[in-house]
Amino acid sequence: MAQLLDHTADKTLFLSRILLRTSLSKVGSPVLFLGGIAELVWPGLRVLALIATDRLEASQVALLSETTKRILLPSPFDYLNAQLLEAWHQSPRGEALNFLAARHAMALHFETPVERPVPWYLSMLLPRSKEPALRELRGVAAAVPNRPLLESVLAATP
Amino acid sequence: MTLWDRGGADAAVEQHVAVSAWAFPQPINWDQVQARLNTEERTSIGPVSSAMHVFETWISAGDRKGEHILVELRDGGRPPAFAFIDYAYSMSQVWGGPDAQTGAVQSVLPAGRDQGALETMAEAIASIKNEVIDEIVTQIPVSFLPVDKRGTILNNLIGRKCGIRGLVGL
Repeated sequence: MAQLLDHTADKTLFLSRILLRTSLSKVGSPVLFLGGIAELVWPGLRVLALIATDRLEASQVALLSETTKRILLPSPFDYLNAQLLEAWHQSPRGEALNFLAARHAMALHFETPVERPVPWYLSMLLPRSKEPALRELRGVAAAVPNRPLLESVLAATP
Repeated sequence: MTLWDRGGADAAVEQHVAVSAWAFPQPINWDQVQARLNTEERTSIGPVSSAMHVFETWISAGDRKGEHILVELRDGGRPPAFAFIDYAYSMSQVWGGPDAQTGAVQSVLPAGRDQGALETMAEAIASIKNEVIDEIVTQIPVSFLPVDKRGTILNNLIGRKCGIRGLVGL
């Protein structure tokens, strides 16, 4: 499949999972998977994408401290989307996920990003133009209330 | 706090490290939560911020950031609890030798000066006996804290505690 992948220095895809570790004091404590985030860097283009849950089940809420309730309720997505926007404005191309991993390294945890080859179908879809408008393209964020879809994405994320 | 010698076999990893327990089971730092605090919680920060300003000035902890402050919000109208972590640069980064002439450090928490807390902490620091400081600092093995740095730290901790009021503008 290698020939179907486009992986060059100026075309990179970074992925990171977003977790909530419910206790750093106890081994084996539950870890909640909140979502995943990606940064795609392409000539003339930069895209940040977030997929995250927009609600937690009652059993998950019961695991939260007062502090994490404050930041993650009612919608984890809203908080994470705000973080995505900050990363967009405060980090250079290709560094958004490192920025977020450094900021969120405790209970709320953005995993160290991993670099992955850009999938061939994105290579087909993304424009080759370097029009100024493309350079201004903003990050894309989307709430995903569909839990099975979220879980399938998380399972596919390293 | 536990000192841990991981051995020198791998030059890529730090050999001498300090390991501490988490202050809270689900730690969240100041940068992560500060936008979600309510007015009462923000108001309650003043005494803590002022007290820590005095302490961090004493030890010249000048690299402080929001990620160094863990916050635990509490129910029942109680004020937030804080844990201040990662003082790796304190007592060393700007203390090149004895009699360091370094002034007040910047506070991270956005709160006004609480005169009572400033006074209380300055008094507490000034009243620490020299022998206590000596005992604590010399507990650290020289493999973790070389003799010359130990001397610098002892000199500055003892010398600065007497002048701490002036350093923080009291």
